[in-house]
Amino acid sequence: MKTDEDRAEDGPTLSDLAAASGVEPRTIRSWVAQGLLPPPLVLGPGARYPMEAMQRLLAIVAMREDLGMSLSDIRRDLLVADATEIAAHAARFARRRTMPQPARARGADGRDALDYIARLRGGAGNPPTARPPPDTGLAALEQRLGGGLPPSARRARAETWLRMPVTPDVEISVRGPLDAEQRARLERCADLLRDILLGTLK
Amino acid sequence: MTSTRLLLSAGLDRSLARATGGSVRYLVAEVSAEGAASAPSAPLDLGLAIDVSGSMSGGKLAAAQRAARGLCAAMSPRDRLSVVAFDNRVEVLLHGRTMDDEGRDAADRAIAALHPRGGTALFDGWLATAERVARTMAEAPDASPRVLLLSDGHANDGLCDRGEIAVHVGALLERGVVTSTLGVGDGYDERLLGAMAEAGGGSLHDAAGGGEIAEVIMGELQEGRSALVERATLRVALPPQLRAEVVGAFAHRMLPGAIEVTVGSLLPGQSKRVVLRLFCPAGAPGSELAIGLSADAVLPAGGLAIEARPVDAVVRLVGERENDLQPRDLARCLAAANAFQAEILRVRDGDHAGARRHVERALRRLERLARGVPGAERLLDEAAIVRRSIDENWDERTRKEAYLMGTKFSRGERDRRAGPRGSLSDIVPPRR
Repeated sequence: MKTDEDRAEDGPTLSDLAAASGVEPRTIRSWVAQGLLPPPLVLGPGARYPMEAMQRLLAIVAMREDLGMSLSDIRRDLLVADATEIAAHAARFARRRTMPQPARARGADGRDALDYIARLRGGAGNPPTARPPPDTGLAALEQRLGGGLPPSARRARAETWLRMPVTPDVEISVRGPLDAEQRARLERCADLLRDILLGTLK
Repeated sequence: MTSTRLLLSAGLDRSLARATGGSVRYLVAEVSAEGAASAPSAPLDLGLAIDVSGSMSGGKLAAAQRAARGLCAAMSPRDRLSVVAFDNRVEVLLHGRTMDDEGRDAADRAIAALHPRGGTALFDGWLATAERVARTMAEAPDASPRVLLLSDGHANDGLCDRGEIAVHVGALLERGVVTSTLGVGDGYDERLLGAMAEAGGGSLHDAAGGGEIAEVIMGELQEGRSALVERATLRVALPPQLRAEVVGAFAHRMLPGAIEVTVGSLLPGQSKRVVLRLFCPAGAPGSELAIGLSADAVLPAGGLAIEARPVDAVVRLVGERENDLQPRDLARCLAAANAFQAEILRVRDGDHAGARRHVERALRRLERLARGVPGAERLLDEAAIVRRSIDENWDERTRKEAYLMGTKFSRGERDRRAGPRGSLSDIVPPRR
């Protein structure tokens, strides 16, 4: 079972987010401050963000650049967007990356083949390899329950609190530990609450 | 303006899944290229990395030398050749010579100087060759840079880890250098050479005897000349709740929210099918899981990037009854069964318990997929052969033939040997 610390180690860094999206780190920080993106799970140098920050960031870029939306419109849309809708925007970003352009035979680090070989021979270390895929199943549920928010201050008192985002401005906090079924029930409560708050309850 | 187009299509074996979760679906993506057959082929910037370890003595090295000379004769004056020999040390014998008369003479002399020596620093040999090719590429960026590595043994000197070697081969593919591999005889490491070819966007070849070396090398030259596109990459963007894994013989990278699959070079009329196994989550009935697919590649001449028209595949979550009543797309079921067949043939590894469990699991999936699908009889027959011989040790030649067959089949590639083996029953010995 993953702890907050484990999850924090899995998440992307600010540099990862910047490299994947092409957005300047200071712009990403400003979007975090504006509530468009979740804050890092742990603070300080090498801070790591929740896994879903990547999808959300790519979605924001696609909404800005493809659909010409303002940040306030994006904020409003993301408030009510579910994970599938955010993923659809992020997928649009993935497609933008493959638009025809003169091929630069360079890696993501900007190095060409000779640079890469020279670095390899110089023992400068291996290039970063792809991170493992996001967790699924129970681990993913836990990540979803606890993701996107800083670790609870109450952990300092040796209590485990799970925080479940409902909308970017509303969350449910529950003192744990909870088993999988309890978490699933809670998730249904969050879905219901979300529908009530957003007026989408049928 | 190029007339070459990259084509992408995709679909599911079944597009409905249970809203209660737990459904497994297969996404089949097909990538191909079309273009004017009369388009002049790009010059080649080829690097030959030749294993000269002691085990290459006894005719194999002599056959490789004959094949290399034949290759020089078939190259045009626009092409460049580098030759690197490696055992436990690496020797650059020819660097980026154009194959005019003078260059051919120099190549002949270099090839004649090959003689069997010590161990096998396979990675170092590959790296030195890739470096030569990269240097030539920097001087002549319009050429198509390729490395062909010939080896009859296992890496036993320097970097030997298969995964790490494949990462470096993939990194150089990203930077323009394609790698193909040729295993000679029965003693080579098919998993290492296979992983290098998959990560390198090239092909794995096999030559059981000396005579086949020339056939395969000339086939590789032909592939290099006729490729419509190189470094084709498929990108599959997944919704966060959907887990997916690649089935079959394609190198891939897991990225946040996406999988990137190295498809490699595409020849005229060649279509490469990538199969992904999707593990569908629970969700509200009527909700949809949208999967976005895109592909890009570069043209061999000048490296201009082209992209395919993106496509979507959608899984809709429904009730139990509606799910059970949906029809199967038989062609895609067959494609998924083929991918499992490739896994079975590639994993089949004698008495190794883990491999056996994997084979049995894959067999069950194959049989489920192939049941009732026209054209799948051969797959079921071959699955039966594998099941019968599951506890028997295959000899090295049988294992290599099976591995190669699985790889070629899964990747839609041609066996370049003059006498390719027909089916699994031709290569698996009858049960004792």
